[in-house]
Amino acid sequence: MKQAYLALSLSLFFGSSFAIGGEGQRSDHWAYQPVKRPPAPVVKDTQWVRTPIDAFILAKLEEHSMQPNEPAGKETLLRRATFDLIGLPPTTKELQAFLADDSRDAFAKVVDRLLASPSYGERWGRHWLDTARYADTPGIASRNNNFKFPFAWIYRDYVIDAFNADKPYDQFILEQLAADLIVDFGSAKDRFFAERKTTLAALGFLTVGERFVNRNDIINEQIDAVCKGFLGLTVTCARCHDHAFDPIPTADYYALHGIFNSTGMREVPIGDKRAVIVQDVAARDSPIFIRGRAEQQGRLVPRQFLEVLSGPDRPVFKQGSGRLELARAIASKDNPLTARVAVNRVWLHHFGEGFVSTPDDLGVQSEPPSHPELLDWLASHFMDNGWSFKKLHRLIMLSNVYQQSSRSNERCAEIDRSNRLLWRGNVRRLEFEALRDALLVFSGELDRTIGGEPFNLTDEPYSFRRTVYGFVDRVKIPELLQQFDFNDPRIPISKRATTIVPQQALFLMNSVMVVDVTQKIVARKDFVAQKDEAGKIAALYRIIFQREPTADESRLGKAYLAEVRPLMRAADFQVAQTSPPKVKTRRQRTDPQPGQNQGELVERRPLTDWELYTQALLFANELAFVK
Amino acid sequence: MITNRRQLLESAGMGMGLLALASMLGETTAAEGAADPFIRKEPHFPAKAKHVIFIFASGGPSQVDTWDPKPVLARYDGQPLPGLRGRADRTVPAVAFASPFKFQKKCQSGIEVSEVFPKLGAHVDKMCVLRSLWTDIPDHPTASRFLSTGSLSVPKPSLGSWVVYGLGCENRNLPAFIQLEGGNESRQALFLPSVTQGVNVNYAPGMPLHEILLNIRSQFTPLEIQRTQIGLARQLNDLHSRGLQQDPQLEARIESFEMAFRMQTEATEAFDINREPQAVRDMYGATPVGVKMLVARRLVERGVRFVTVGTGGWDNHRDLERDLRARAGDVDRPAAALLTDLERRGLLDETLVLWCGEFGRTVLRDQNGQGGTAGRDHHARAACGWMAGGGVKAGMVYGATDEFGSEAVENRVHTHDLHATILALLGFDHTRLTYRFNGRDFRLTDNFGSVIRDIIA
Repeated sequence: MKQAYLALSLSLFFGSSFAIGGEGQRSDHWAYQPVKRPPAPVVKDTQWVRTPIDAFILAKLEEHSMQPNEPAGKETLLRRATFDLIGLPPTTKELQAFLADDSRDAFAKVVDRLLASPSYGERWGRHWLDTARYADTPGIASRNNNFKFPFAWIYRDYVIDAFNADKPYDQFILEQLAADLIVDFGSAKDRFFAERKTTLAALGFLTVGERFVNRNDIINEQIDAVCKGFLGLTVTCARCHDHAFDPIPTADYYALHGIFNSTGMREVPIGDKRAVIVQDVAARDSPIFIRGRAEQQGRLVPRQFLEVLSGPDRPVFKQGSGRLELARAIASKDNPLTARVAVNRVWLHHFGEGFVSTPDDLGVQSEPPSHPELLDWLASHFMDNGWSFKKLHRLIMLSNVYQQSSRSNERCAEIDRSNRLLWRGNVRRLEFEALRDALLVFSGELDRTIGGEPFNLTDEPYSFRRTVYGFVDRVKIPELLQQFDFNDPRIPISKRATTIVPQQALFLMNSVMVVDVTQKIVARKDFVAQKDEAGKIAALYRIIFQREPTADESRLGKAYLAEVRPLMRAADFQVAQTSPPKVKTRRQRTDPQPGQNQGELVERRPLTDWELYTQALLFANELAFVK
Repeated sequence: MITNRRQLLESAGMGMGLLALASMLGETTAAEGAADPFIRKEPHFPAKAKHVIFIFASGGPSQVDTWDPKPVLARYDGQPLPGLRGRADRTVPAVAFASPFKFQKKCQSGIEVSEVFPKLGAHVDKMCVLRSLWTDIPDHPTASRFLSTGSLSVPKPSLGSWVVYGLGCENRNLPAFIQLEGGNESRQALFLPSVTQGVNVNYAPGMPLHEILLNIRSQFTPLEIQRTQIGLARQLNDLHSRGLQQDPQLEARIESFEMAFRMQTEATEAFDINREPQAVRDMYGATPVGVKMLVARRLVERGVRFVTVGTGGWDNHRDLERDLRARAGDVDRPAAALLTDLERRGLLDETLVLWCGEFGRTVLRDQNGQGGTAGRDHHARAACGWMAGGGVKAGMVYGATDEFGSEAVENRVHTHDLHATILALLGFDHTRLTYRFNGRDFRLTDNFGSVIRDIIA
C-alpha cells in the first residue's frame, strides 16, 4: 500500500520548476509522440467494465487496490448529464420519464435527447469560446472610444451552430483558420450560397482577439490563440528567444508569423450583418526578429509548420499565405497534439479535471497525464469516428466511470484525495452560466432564443436570455462574472477556476435579479395551484431540485415558515432603513443606452414568507453543485 | 470539548450562525476540516509583520528609471553597449536608452530616488530598496503567475493564500485576503483551505458602496430575517452533505454564506473611506490608486492579513518618458501617504509594504512599438522593488545590477528568495510552511528560495 501511495504521489505531482533537459530529451516528451491506440487493459473485476474507458480507469484503481463507487442514483445521474450537456437543470417531466423508464438503454436515450437539444451548442460552444478568448470588444487599444466589435457575436453563433451540428472537429479547425480558402461559395443564386457565406463567420476565431495597435502584437495574439487553442502549446515565448522548456525555436515562431503576416483582416457582409474575416494578402516570409524586435531582423524563415510536430523535413507552405496548409497540418490525424488536446478538454468538462491538468499546455512543463493510455485511446477513437464530439460524449457518458456516485470513502480518499484516479464522481461547482441559467429556468421565464445580439448581463430590466449571450467587454468584465471566475478573455483559457468566495453568496442573498427570480417562482402556476403547505413545499422542491422533498426536508420547511412569520410581523414588513438604492417602480426605461436592455423596470416589494423560504432553497449547496 | 469550544467562540463574539457552523464542523473530529477555519495561528518564530500590503506594479516597471540609477547609460544613449551579452544571430545591434529622469540623494540614508517619485522620496529612510530582483520568464502572464504563486505554469496557491494559511484570521467578519483589483490566479487558494482564498474588489473613487461591493446590502429583507434563511440553508446543506462526507467545497460554501452575512455590516464600514477625516483622504488623494491605498490601510487596521493593491500601466514599450512618469505619479502620493499613515497609527512595524512588478525592463531602446517615443522591452534578469515596515531594515539598498542595470549581479534576489523572505518577515520558515495534499507536502517556494537575512532588522 505504502509503495502504491508513493508511486501515485510521484506520478501525479511533478514540480513546476526543474532543470531544463537537453534538446533531445525535450522532443522525447510524450505529447510530441504519435497517438497510439493501446489495447484496453485486463482487469480483475470484468463485471464493472461497460466500455473500454472503464477498463483503463479500473486498471489504475486496481493497481492501487481501490474500487470504484457504485452507480449514482437516477436523479443524480440525470441532473449531472443534463447540466453537463446542455448547462441547464432537467425538468420535472424529464425526470419522471427517466425514472419510469426501466429499459436497459434508458440513460442512452437521455444522452441522445440532450445531444439533440439546441441547448447543447450553447453549453459546449461556451466552453470553446473560453478557449477562443471570445469577447464582444477588441480590448485595450480602444478602451477610450467605447468601441465594440459590432458583430463578434456572429462568430459566437457560428460556434454554437457548429457544436449543434456536430461539425467534425477537423472541419471546425479548418473553417476557423481558413474558411475563406476552403468554401466554394458557388453562385449567388445558389440556394446554399447564404449558408456557405455564413461559414466565413468561423474566421472570427482569428479576429475576435485583443486588437493591439502594433501589427506584430496582433499576429502574436493570433499565434497564441492558434497554438494554445488547437495544439495545447505555448509558442509565443519563442517570439524573443528559443522556448525555455519546449522545443520551439524562434525560427518556428517566425515561420508562423509569416503566415499571419501574409493574412489581412477585412469586413464583409454576411446577410444583413457584417463580419470581420481574414483573407490572404501578398505572401511573404518573415525574418526572425532578434529578441522580438522588429527593427533587428535576422534571416528569413520559410512559412511552415512546427518542427517538433512535423519533423525537420517538413514541407514549406506554398499556397498563398500558407494558412490553409497550416490548418491542414493542425487538423491532421498525424498531428500528435490536436486530438489529445480536444479529448482532454472534453474529459475536463465532464469530470472537472482533464487527464492533463493544464488543458492549454501539454508541453514539457505540464504534469504527466493521469491516464496516458486512455487519453491516447480516446484520441485515436475520436479521430477514427469522424472527429465527432457527440459520439465522444456518448462514449464517455455511457461508461461506468461517468455514472458512478460522488460518495466519499475514507480508504480511497487516503490514497487519492484529489480523485485523480476517479474512484468517485467529482463534486463540481456550477459555472456562473449554469447557475444563472438554472435560476431562469426555475422562474419559468427562461428566454430560449438562440443567437443574435448580446444583451446586458447586469443592467435592469434583466434579460432572461441564456448567459452565453451576455455582453462581455474584454477590458471591463462585469464584476459579477469575475466573482464567479469568468475567464480573462485576453488569453485562451480552457479551464476556469472554481473558487468559492462570499460574493457568490451575496449574489444569491441580495441581488435584485435573484429576488426577481424568487418572486417569479412563487408566482408559478404549479406552485400557486397547491392547496396546503406540504403541497407547496413539494412543488418548490420539484421546481428547484427536480425531486420530492424528504420527510425531514418537508418538516424543516414547515418549521421555517412558522419561525419566520412572527419575525416578519416584528419587522413590520419593513425593508431595513439603511438600504439604498430605493426600490424601483414600474416604468418604461426612458434612457436606454446602446447595449442596454429594453423593457419595463419592475416594481419590487419585500419578500413574503414563501418567497423567503424559496430564496433560502436557492442558497442550498444542492443547487450550486453537480454531484 | 464542544462546550469549551462553544465558550471560546462565544467569548470571541460570534453570531449564532457561526456557532452552529463551528459545532457542525466540530462533529467531524479527525479530519482537518474540524479545526475552526477562522482561528488565528502562531508563526514558527516571533516576528514583527502580521499583515502585508502588496502594491503590484503590473506590467514590469523599469528599474533604471525608478530605483536603480545608471547615469553611465547617458554616455551610450543611442549607441550599442559594450560587452553586453549578445546572440550569435544578431545582425543589428541594440542601442542603449538612457533614463530620461534625474535622480537625487534623499533623506539621511542618501538613497538615490528618481524624480518621478517626489513624495515617496521623502520616505526612503523607511524603505529597503531592492536592486537585484530577477525572475525566469519575461512574459506578463507567466511572470505574474510566478510572482503571485511561485509557479511558472502549473496552478499553485497564491502568496496571499499561503500567508493566510500560516497566520490564520484576525477578523471573522472580513475575508483575510483582499485583492483591490487583479486577476483570478493571484488570489487563488486551490487546495489550501478556502478561508485563504482572496476576494477581489474593484474599488474605485466615487463609486457608491453598493456598487463597489456588489450585492453587499440586503434591500428587501431585514438582516434578522436573512439570518434565518441562512440558518435554514445550513440545515438543508447538512442533510445534503451526508454521504458526500467532507467535501471541502461544500464546507467552504457554507462558510462563504456566513462570511457574506457578516460582511454586510463589517465590510461596508471597512470600505467606506468617507468615514476618514478629510485631511486623511486628501493625503491619499481621490485617485484610483489613492482610494485603494487608503482602503488597504483600513483593511489592515481591521485585521485583514494580505491586501494586494493592483496598479497597472508599467508596460512601457513606448512613450516611456511620458507614461512611466504618469504611472509613477499615480502611486507616488498614495504610497507616501500610506507609509506616513501606517507609521502614525503605529501599524508600520506590523505591516510589510512591498512594491514591485513581475519583471524589469531592458536598458535598451525598444523600437518594436510603432510610433511614439522610446520605451523599453520586458526583461527578466534585472528588476527592482522596495519594502517598508514589517521588520524590514530601513534606509538601505540591497543588491546591485551590473554597470548598465541590465543584469542583477550582487546579492541577487530571485522570486523564490523574495517569497522566502516575505514569509520569514511574517515568522515562517518557508521550508516548513507546508500543506499536505494528495500525499505530497507543498510549499510556496517549491524546493527553492533563500531568505535574505541581511534585510531583516
